[in-house]
This record gives sequence, structure tokens and C-alpha cells, in this order.
Amino acid sequence: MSAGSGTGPGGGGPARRSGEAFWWALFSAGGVMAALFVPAFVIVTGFLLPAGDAAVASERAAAFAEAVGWWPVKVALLGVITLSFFHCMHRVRHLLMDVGLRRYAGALKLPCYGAALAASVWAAWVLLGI
Amino acid sequence: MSGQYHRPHRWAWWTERPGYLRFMIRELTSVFMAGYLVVFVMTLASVGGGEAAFAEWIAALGSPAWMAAHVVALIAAVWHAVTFFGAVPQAMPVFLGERRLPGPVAQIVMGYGPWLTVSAVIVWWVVR
Repeated sequence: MSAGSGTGPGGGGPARRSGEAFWWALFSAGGVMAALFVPAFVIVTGFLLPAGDAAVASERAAAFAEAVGWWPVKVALLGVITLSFFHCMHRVRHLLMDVGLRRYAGALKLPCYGAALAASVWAAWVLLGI
Repeated sequence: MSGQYHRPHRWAWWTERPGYLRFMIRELTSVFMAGYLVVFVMTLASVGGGEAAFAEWIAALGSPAWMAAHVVALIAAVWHAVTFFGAVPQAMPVFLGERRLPGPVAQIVMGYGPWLTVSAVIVWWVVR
């Protein structure tokens, strides 16, 4: 799924060196997850849960809370959220490389993938607390 | 990266051609999606905080500013999905024996179909 992705003029460099292939694999899996799930998540939190009618809103809140409290959903959500975060931060890293920071390609790994990892750990902790 | 030669280019090279600009817009969807995912995890956290905390968070999400942010997030997420699934025939060609599945068919089977199904199930669960 990574054909042409993240490589503007300037190229992406050899994938074998520096473990790039691993990040591209995460990127592809995360891209699929984000594409499948995130639009629906936005519709739910942005437009369905804050319904104008109080009774409707409380029914929908109960349905949402019930779903995310079920452990198979928690596991699925953690997978979707983690992979999506890595997808996004991989793109952000390549975005920064494409606008002039290519010489810091290696140094950018820590803040970008580190942020994705931290956000994923946070999500895991939040899901455990439901 | 040593030993490679990159032709120097302006940092704003992506303004030079419509195709470059479309590429940059697609890449920028990831910034908005990452931001939205943080909001989504905050929503999950409010569920963990109990019924009152969740109700309060949902009431906040009903404000015009949050609605506008969600409109932006929705555009970014849909654009990500459309461009990602649009690349399926090039990125993951599907073969039935010797025959290559036509591009639009592959996009529907491997992309738009599952996308609509997943979205419908999620929306149905909340509004049913």
C-alpha cells in the first residue's frame, strides 16, 4: 500500500538500510485501519453523540459506553488506534523530510515514533480504565 | 543516506505543480487525523471517568467550535480513505489465476466495500 506514498521529489532512500521497511509496514497497516475506522469515529463523536435531544443523546452515550466497555472492542480499538498513530506520525516524519529536513531523517525518528508510542500507551491505559 | 544525490529544491516545492499540491494535501491529512485520534482517546477517557464525566464531555463536543473541528477532521479522514483506497490497484494488485482484477473492482472489494460496511456497523450501533 506504500507505492509512491511519502516520497515526493527527493525520493525515499533505500528501504533496507536503517530499518525503513519496518516503518513502512506499520505505515501501510495503519493506513488501512485509519481509512476503515476514523471517518466513522469522527461521525460518532462529532455528530451522533452530541445530539440536540437530551433523551436521544443519553441513549447513544449508553450504547457507545457499552460497546467500548466490551473487551474484544477494547482490543480492536487499541490495534486501530496504535496502528493509526504510527501511520500518521510516519507521514508527519516524511512530511518534515519533504519540506527540507531530509538531513535529519534519522533524528526525526525519535520524536515522531516516540510520540506515536506514547499516544498508544496512553490509549492502552485509558482503555484499561473503562 | 550518504552517497545519494538529491537535487536541491525549495522547501515550498509542492506549490510548483497541482500534482505536488495534491500530494502535500494528502500528507497533511495525517496531521489532522493524529489530532483527531487524541480527541477520540480523550472521549474514551471520559467514558472511563464515569457517566457524569462522559455526559459533560459530550455536551462540550456539541459546541460550535468542536463541531467545526469535527468537520475538518471528517474531511481529512475521508480524503485519507479515498486516496488510500484509490491506490489499491497500484499498491496491491489482485490476481484471479492469470487475470488481474480490474482497478475499480479491486478498489470496491478491498477498499470502499469494507469501509462502508465498517462505517455502517459503527453508526448503526450508536443510533439504533
